[in-house]
Amino acid sequence: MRPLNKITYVDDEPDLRTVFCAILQKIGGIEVQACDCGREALECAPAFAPDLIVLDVMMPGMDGPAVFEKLQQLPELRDTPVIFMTAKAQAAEIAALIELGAVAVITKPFKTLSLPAQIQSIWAKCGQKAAA
Amino acid sequence: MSIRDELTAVLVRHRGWLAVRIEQIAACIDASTARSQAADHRLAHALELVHQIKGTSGSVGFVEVSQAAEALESHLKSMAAEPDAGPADEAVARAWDLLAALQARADSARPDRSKLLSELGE
Repeated sequence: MRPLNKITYVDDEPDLRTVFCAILQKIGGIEVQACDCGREALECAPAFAPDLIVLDVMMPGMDGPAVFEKLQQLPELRDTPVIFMTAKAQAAEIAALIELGAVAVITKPFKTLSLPAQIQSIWAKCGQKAAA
Repeated sequence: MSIRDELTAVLVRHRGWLAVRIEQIAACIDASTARSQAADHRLAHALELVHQIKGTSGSVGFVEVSQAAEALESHLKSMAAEPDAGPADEAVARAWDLLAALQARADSARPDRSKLLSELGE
């Protein structure tokens, strides 16, 4: 299985972007492209070619599911696994996001220091599914 | 810059972020007492703000702030569930109490009290 090297993270909260980047880069050793909205992600992510995309659900303008649908229309990113992040932790809402096509949902508040391991675990499962 | 310094800077900035949002929530609760469509919008906006605090403050390690925000969110949801009648005086008073509790937690949210930094260690 190829290693997880690059993540595009989309969240409108600047504090969360900083924390996510610091933890994933300095502890997880993963390069992170941080975007503050869906539009920026749609413009910049294709050139960055991430292995994985992490999308906040509740964002002003285009929300996470809307960004996800647009990403699916980009040939470069159509097959890139997507994880949603949401503070709406109800089972029905999580199931709806998985039904949409996400590989996993991480609920907020997230366990920040465990994020690199949590995301690596999700990545490993993606690899196992692809190989099956 | 070390990861600790970087996270500390975020936590300092986060206090300002919290103060602005709590002020906005107060204005929304104040305006929500009227029986109008605009009042419903203000309550919905308060819910968005408190939802943001719950997720963001908890993720940067201010667990008690997140819990206080969750309590207020739950109460505001119940207020919003009966928009036609307008919120009862008791419900509004309870919202102010829960906001005061959130404010108290936010006031004590110093970087050295963040679970994130304590778990990171030295």
